[in-house]
Amino acid sequence: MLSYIGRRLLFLPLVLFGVTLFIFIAMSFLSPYQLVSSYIKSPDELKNQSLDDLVKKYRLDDPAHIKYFRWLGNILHGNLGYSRSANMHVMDAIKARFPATLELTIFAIIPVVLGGIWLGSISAIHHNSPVDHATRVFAIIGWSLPSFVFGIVLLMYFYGVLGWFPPGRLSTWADMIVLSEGFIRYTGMNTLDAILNREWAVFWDAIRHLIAPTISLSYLWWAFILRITRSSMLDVLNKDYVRTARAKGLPENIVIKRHVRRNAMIPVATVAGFMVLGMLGGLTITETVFDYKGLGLLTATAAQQLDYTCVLGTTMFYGVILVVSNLVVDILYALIDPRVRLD
Amino acid sequence: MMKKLIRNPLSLFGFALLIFFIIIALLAPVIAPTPERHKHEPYRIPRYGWQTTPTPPSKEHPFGLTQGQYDIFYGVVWGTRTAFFVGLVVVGSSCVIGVVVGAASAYIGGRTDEIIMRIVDVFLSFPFLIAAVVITCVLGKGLDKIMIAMVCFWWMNYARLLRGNILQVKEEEFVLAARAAGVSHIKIIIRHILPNTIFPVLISASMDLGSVVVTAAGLSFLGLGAPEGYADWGQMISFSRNWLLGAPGEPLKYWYTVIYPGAAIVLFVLAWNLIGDALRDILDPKIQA
Amino acid sequence: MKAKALTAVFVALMLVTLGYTGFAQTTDPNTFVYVSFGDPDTLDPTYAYDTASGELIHQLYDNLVAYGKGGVDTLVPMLSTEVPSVANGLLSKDGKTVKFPIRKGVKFHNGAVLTPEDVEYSFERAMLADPSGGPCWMFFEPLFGVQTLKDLACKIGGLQSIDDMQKLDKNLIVKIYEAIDKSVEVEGDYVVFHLATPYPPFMQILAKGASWGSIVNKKWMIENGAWDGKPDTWLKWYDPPKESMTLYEKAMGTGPFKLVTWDHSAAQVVFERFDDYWQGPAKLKTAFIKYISEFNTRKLMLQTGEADAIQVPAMYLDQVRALPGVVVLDHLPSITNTALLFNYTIPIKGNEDIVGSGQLDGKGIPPNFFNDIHVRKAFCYSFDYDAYIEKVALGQGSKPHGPIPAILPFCDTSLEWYSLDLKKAEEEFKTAFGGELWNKGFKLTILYNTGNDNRKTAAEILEAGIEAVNPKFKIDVQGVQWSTYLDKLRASALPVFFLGWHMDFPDAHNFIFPYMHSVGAFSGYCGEDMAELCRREFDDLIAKGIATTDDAIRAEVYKTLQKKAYDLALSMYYVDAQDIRVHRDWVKGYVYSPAYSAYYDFYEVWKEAK
Repeated sequence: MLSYIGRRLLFLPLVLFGVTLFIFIAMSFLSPYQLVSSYIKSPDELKNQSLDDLVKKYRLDDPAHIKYFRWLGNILHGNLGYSRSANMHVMDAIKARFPATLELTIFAIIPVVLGGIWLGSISAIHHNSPVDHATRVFAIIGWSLPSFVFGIVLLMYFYGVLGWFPPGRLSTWADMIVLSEGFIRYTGMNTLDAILNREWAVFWDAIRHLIAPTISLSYLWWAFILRITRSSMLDVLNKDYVRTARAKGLPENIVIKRHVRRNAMIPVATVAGFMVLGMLGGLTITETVFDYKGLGLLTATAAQQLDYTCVLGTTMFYGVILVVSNLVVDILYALIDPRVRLD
Repeated sequence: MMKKLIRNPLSLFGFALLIFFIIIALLAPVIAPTPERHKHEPYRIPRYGWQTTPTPPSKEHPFGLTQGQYDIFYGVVWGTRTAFFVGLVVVGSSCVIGVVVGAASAYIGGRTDEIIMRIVDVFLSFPFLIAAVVITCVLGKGLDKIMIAMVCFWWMNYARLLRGNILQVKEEEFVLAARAAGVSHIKIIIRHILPNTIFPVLISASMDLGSVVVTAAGLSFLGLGAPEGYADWGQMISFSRNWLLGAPGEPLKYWYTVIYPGAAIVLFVLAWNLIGDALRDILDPKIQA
Repeated sequence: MKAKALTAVFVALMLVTLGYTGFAQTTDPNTFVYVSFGDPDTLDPTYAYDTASGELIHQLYDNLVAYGKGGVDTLVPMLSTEVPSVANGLLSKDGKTVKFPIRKGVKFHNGAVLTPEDVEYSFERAMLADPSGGPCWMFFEPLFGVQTLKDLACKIGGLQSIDDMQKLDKNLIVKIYEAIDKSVEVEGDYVVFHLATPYPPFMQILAKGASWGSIVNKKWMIENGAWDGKPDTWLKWYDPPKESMTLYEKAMGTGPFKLVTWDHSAAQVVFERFDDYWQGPAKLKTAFIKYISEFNTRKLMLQTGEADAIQVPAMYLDQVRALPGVVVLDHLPSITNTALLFNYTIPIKGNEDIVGSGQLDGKGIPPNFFNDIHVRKAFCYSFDYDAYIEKVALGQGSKPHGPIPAILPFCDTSLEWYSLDLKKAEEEFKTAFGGELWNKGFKLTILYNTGNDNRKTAAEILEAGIEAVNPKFKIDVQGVQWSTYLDKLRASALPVFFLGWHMDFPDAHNFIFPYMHSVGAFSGYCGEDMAELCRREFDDLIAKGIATTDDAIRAEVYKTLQKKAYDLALSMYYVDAQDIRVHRDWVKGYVYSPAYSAYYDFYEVWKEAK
């Protein structure tokens, strides 16, 4: 097992290299004057700057491979560069934004995984019953609804009409507490930090700001997990070994617990694995609608402004997360299904 | 097979919806004729004025006019064609690529499997939206560029799914038996392995058709997709975003900018999802009705 | 079951959260929250050239002079105790020496007292840094008659050009410092500027609203790693990367507010009242400027009172107008205009996707398409200006009179610009290219940068007008990303392009130069033939207009230039922008100042307790 993990982790730098190479190749198709647009971000900022001077100053006309080696060199010194779109060092940007995304993901995963698996199982077990149909319709609507429409409708009603769940991460008064001298940032996650600092009002405020984006995010993924679980459970429920178990006279709930669930979880595990990743990256839309300053929003803004330094930094970061989470999923595979051999 | 389809009310509904959309797509030039001056650009939604604020539905414009006075009815009708085009091309291409790669990887196994999966990892490590944004930065914006981006980063889902299933099946009795009997690898894959493992992929593909359309709408929301005024549901919804909150005291004042294109997307995806379910029920020989 | 229990917990959590933190809030009269969109660049006055940064610097720093309340014409003293004029002897008769008596007893945020040396240092430091793309050219033009420090270095050293400033000769380095030093000197309690030529808007360049004229504290700057004031060391701080500059994220000014923090990750800037402000402490205690790009979110924040003021684009004005407790001020004359500029010398090679065949054969446009005055006039007659202003700008704009916005002095408002007249357009088109154009037709591609619906619609309005004149005239409107647009613009590849100019300082010269001078910012994208035209017709007049303080002469010059722009149909100016302010009714004391980039002056406004 350990040697397997070791070998998989050895691929990590290779993956990172591939990812960053891809971005550089993509960026190399851009002319220096297209790249300079990340310094003059809109036509309103176009005054009488000398574009040539800017290009020379930031060495935008260097060939792509020179830029790449320069960037690699900086990485080896631990310097991920400066992000023009976020106005801070890339490392700082990631450190600041990632906990926000992580916080939202954690809060969203719980209802998604538990709710989705639970309802999916019930749906499959009581195949074609009213519960099944109702759940499926509910899930299908979730899967068909564009996420930003749902998000904005949530904002409109729960914030605009009721005033309960505002956008952003914290209210102004809570912000002032967090920014004050006495508040120590341990993790960057508002809920956790508030608990650790014993600022209960801030904790509740953070929760209040998390509810709407969590609902908006989890509804869609919940529908997804539900379908996969149901699909997979249905598959397994009709497999021979299940029928055999039933024929043997085993009580239904033991059949389900011991044989069906375990085997049905395999595709769910794969999906859950890259659902986490999808969440981390695909949060962009939710983060935009709720003005939730997380990693997805950071990367999307950076890419739109051709801030390739930042894009490289964040995608490398994603690469690390991906490799690690894939590894975890594959190990889970091995644990769940004894037939799968890690070789 | 048809009997099974019709017997289930949900799948019947899905099937009917799909037929409805197909008819609309085919008859688009009849239902919403293109004005003379733009005959060569049928996907350009005609504008009836320059006003920025939307206009409510009326007799001449049954679905109303959106921001910039683009005709919503025209956009929804021709958008059907766009939706089919985008969905079929993206899903079709990714499916083919994904199946080939996934099957090869799983079947050959060993080192090759690991290498191929690492390459898949490289592609997967891009959060999809970010990858789409990066590609459109370089290639430019537009529906075709998004489609390329989507295919590039969609096939891995199928590859992984198929590979996972094949890894399981690979060790099953009937496969081992066939191998022992000396059947060629390709035949084993096509005749024994694929039929038992491809269904999740097919079901996923049919579901994906709808979600591709939703993803494209999301990309339009980020400003990457079809340009303003193009007959694409996603693009129309990205406009409606600004009017979702209506006016003070009349929160639903501009409902038509949201409801019509939104309903089109929801129903389209619904149709494919129901059909996906139905296919699942039909194609899997081990399930009883 | 486990999941049931969890759901129950979740619902309970929700209820507790709601009950605990309550529903709609009452507002705190000591805190002001303004929600804008976009992104400030930097807090350093020497680098900042965008309005978002200017807005922040406005609250933290003072300038030598300021504008009278709500106006652009009168100046009032600020850190200088008098506004220099010929009458009070502080402005020399030849207009080349300007003396500012520096106020005593003004404190910086750290308690240090303002001295004339601080003022001298502020300007010297700016000029010796001269970041690329920055605002320091506005000091160089009046003081030296050049545009950049590099130009000055070439002049002093007798060089044609300089490749790498860092490799300059040691003597030249000192000589450059000496030239800069001589241009702004301390004389007792005064700071004296020595200009190269009389420059009428010199004081507007220094006035509040011009963030680059902010006064910093020399001692504090040196202590925090800025240039130490010595003649031979300044090169180290020349053209620095933005984030390495001392005042990038920090502030040390004499303004009414101190900087608490610029929180990049939360995209907000927090200010705190400076109690020892020389004009007395502000009424507000704390102020926030937050940046949220989604309009819906901003609107909702305004509704619930979480935001006291928000930025509202014209097209959504109706959504906020009728909100209870909200004040809308619109039709505010802003000093900005937008134009469609013609490229007189369009490159053909490599540009086929835009110019088509590159010939006068109905399938494209020839390179000298817009060099023909009749084509330009025809385009100007084909645009429905009223439709644009009413429908697209939703009334928040006015018809231009030419390149100078109407609110500025020396704009001749009696001179009418072109109007929609398809008959005249037809006449002009028929005359163009000796009549050939009318028979052969043309195909033109107009590009706009995506995300800018207004420019797209303007292009389509033009398209509708022109295609109605002759069906052989085809216009294709296409959107491209800003990066691509900038790239093509720089290569002068676009046959027509939209650009707007937002004022640097409120003077006619600031608008005339980019639009009409041969080396103006925009003329550079309009091809060699336009530059030639400018050299022939405008350059000398422009130089004359800026070199005299005699208002009568200036009025005549700019009137002539405006008329020439009209007669030659130089570019198609189509709207003078108007501004909007939206805030809650408990915000008091607000006065619109077109000269300030800051939407809200936190010293001026205060909140009524509710």
